[in-house]
Amino acid sequence: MRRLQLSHCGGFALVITLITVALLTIIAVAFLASSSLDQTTARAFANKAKAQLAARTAVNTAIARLLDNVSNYSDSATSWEKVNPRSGGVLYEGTVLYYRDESPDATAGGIPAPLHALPLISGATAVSIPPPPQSAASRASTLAAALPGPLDNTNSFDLNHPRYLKDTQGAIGAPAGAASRPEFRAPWISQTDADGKVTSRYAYWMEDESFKANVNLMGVTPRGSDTVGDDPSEIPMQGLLKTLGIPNFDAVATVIFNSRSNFPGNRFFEYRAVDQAAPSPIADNAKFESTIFSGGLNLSRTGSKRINLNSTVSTSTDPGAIRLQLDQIINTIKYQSPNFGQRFYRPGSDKNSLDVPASDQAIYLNKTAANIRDYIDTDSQPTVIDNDGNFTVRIGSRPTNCFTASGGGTSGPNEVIAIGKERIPYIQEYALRVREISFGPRTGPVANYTISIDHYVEIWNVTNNDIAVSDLGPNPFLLIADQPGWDAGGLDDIPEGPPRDLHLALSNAVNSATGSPLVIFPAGSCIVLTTDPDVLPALAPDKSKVYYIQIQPENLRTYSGKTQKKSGSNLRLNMRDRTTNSSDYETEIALANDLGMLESAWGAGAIGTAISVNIDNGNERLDQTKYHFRGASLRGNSGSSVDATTGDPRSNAEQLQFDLNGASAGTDKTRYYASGLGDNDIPGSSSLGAPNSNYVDPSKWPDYSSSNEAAADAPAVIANAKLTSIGQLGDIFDPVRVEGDSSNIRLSRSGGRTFRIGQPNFFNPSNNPSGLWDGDSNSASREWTAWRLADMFTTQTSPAFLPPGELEGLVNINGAARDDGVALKAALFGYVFQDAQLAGAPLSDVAVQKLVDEVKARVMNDGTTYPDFAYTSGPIAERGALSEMPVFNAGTNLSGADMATTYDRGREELFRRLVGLITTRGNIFTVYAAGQSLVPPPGGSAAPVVTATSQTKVTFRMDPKWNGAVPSDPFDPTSNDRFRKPDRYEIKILYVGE
Amino acid sequence: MTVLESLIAMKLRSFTLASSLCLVAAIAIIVPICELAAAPPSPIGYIRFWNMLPAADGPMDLRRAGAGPTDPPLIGKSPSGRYNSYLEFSPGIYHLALSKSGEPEKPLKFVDLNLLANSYFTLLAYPTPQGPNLEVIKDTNDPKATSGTLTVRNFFPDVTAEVFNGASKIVGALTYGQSVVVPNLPLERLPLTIHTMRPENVPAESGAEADFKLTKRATLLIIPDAYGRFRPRVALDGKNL
Repeated sequence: MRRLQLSHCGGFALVITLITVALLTIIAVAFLASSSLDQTTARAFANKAKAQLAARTAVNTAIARLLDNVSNYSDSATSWEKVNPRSGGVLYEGTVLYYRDESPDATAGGIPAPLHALPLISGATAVSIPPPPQSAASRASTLAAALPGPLDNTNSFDLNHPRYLKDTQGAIGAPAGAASRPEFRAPWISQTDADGKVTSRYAYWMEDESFKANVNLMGVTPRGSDTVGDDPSEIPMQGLLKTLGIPNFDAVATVIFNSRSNFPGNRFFEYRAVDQAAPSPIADNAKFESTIFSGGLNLSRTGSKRINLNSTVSTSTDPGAIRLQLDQIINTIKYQSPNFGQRFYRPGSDKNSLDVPASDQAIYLNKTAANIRDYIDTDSQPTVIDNDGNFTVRIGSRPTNCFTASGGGTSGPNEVIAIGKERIPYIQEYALRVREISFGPRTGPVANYTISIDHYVEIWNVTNNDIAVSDLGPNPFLLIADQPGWDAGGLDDIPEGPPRDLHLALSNAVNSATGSPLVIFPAGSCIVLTTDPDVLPALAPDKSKVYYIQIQPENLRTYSGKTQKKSGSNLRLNMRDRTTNSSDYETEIALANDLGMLESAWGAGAIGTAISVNIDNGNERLDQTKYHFRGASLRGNSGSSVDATTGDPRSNAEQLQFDLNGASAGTDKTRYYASGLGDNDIPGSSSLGAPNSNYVDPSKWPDYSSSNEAAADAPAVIANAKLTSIGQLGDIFDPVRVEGDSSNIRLSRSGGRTFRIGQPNFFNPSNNPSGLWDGDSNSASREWTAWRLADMFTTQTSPAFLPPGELEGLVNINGAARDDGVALKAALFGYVFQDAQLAGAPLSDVAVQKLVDEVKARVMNDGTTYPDFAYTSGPIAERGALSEMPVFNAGTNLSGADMATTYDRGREELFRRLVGLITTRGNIFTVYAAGQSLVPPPGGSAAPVVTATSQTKVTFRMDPKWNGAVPSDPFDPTSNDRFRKPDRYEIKILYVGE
Repeated sequence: MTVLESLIAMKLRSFTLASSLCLVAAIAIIVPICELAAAPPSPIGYIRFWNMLPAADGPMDLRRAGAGPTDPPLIGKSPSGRYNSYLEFSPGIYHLALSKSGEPEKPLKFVDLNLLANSYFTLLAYPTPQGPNLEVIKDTNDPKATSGTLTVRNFFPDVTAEVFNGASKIVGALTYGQSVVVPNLPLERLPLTIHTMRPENVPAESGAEADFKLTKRATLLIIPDAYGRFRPRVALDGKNL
């Protein structure tokens, strides 16, 4: 019994023991298993974290590197480059940052600083761009040197790899219509631990979002003929969708646009929201060409905030305030382009010599500033600047005489150095009519005479806007001063001088045909002002264009007396010549008001042959039709210079030096040119009442005038309003000049050319003989091209929600090669020309493609297809340089009209309506980064083992920041503080994702 | 001699007498006509009067000396700075007086002038420290002259002028009241540039032209214009235009 009891107890213990052991074993195994899993998981997390850290390093490195370059080298631009292979395949495709060591403010010595290029990918190093020309092969070779070598799976990562089987877009996307998804590779950069072992690596590839069209900002209204092009909402979404091949792009654009309006702030928060309302998903296919974040810097190439002309110019009659405005403009130009004044005149064939002395450069800049100011301010009072050493602004008093030479002589330095081009009518021709009312006897000791003296002054409104008399300031009047005296042999001489000066109020002018008052100077048309109550048809055939102003008192028109002056035995009354025999060039004709001069045509009253009143033939010459007329018309430069020509009406008395009599001045003489308008020539050489284009040679004069009288044919545009586009600077008269046949540049008029902003400045003997740039990106003359002004000045201000110096939605034209210019094409969708000469002509797809092709060729410095680009290097450095596209001034590709014979404002329209939408460097970039965790290769294998990979996409914005107050307009021109570059750029992350 | 011969001789004598009478009569008629037709123009000479006296002196008259106060002046009411052209006068001896207009009884200066036919004279009134002077200047061109002569007269108060032909200075530092003659100038249209320094140190310059194709003598008058500006004037000497 006892044995049985003992046996029973021992078995139980065994069981318990076994169970316990089993449980312990299970627990131990489970613990061990769990421990191993945790270890693996931890390692995986560690690898992933390491990869993520590497990717973040890539992002930070990319941003830091870009930031460093943009901060240090303000003269930079980004472009899309496709670098050809060194050994098969594309070596690199992506964004490249080009920059110069120094910005244009450091080009006083002439030559721009060296140019460098840095591909915005990991592992790239900056390379120096050699001076042009470069062949395509040498250019590719130069850029290829920025990279370590051919990129493949062993040394680089394709940031656009397929996300799944048969993925055609990748993470970055593919151009519409591309045969395959492109690889966008970046070299791996290895990271090592403290022992020098490679533990991870990263790669990044970065692009400028401004290459793309911004679906968050685009509108849906085709450009048409009314848009000015100053806001991204004017870029039609249809342009993007059409290029992508979306059917019913109009309807789809509207759906997306309406859908966007339902989002807060009228903006998509993330890109895929584009698909929210689209009839079929398009976001993934459109992501290469479009974005929801893009923008550009409204900074000049020197890095300073562009000067807003609309904020610096205002209407004023205070000479101090006007001087301040001028100085802001002048100092901006001088700072941003120290040699801009070298444009004034180029004495030799060397386009890059620094010949123009500082004093003349100062005059040129003052003339330019006056023209800019008068284009913008709302009055019609020309800005007049004295030649007094201080460049004092002259305003506030009623003129008594025309402008003259300093010191009052008939030659010498002009008493004023600038007369702004205003919206005023210009004096063109003058004729003097002297009636012999009675004279007799023919012989004897004394004759009695009665004569009347009348004036005919042709006035041309050269602008495309009607000008009301009421626009011409307080009490506008026609001034006729310093008429020649008459020699009666000491009896009743008619004296010269102030008592006979006429101030003829325009308010008293009445139409000779209808008697209605003069209210309007019609756009592009001529009228004649006369003191003659009985208009002579031979002088002015169309009485409806003649306005009569009565001379009061009458004794300033009709003179009676006795004369004993004789020639032989015949008595006479002789006009008295003054500084040359038998002629007179000193009658002064001007338009003025109580505040000052409107138009001074000193010497307009050129009388080439003195008049003798007599009855030598036995008859009184009562109201003869072929006698007693003298006249003149304006001539500009003439001579052998390629662009010299004569007769442009838009040049006025703004020569550096006057030479009224000008025996040695040839057709550069200051007086209006007497073109044989004499006894028997009326109206043979006269065109009183019609525009005076008979001297203009369009083949020599890039912006000639027309004899047609209509607003559409008017050769000048003066806005008298705030600018809507910086391209309007192309409307503004350029004081640049060339030598005339006197070979004295100081006698030359500037003629009627306007700044070539929106058409090439590149010298071309066949289609641009007066171009001032030799076409070399590295030459001095490039820094004084007219379109440089578009880089210094702006009309746009940053939206309130953006930091100063930034603009949203700008399209970087240097990205045209990326997707064949989708964004640029979108910006021009539905464009219709508005200029009068081209009115209604649509910008065809072919024309847009032509422009895009030229932009691509320019960015690639393709001198083979486009010889004009042979000496370019780097991408388009500033927005104004878009002007250099040949399509703007040659051929019929753009509008159907021959651009070579189209007015400047027609040639420049496309640029004018596009420039506010473009940039050459964005400030929003996306970094596509990859990081990998690595372990050393087993067994000495060459390739490390990848333990984890992480990819990220970060979109960021660079915000310029200034310490202290942000530079703003208007500003103190005595200091360069306004031109401070940003003290730093701050990064704002806009998007982070896989 | 027979009676018949005597009669014939008588007839011949009568015929001769008649013929002679007719001839004389014809000559008496024709010659005056021819003389009338071919009569040379009345001999005349030319005088001009330039008043370069200060404006404060008022207008001046040039009168025959001794003429009655009511007799008209030869040239009257000539204001300061007036450079009249030539007037025609009969040759002869002229005793001339300079007087202020309206004061014929107070002649300021007398000169004698022997005016020959086709001769030209300028009567120049100008100030001197001793008072107004009236100078007779013979302007008649020498037909044998092979070069031009420019007379430069400075009557611009407080102005010293220089005269250039192109880059060549032909007159230097001519002060107020001074005159200088520049001979040996080419017989062509001669551009002139006149420089001065106006008060307030403002340089002034004027251009003019002496046409030595028209005449071999010319005068450059440095005078203010009607506005007081620096506008030298050119007058051709010895040429009535």
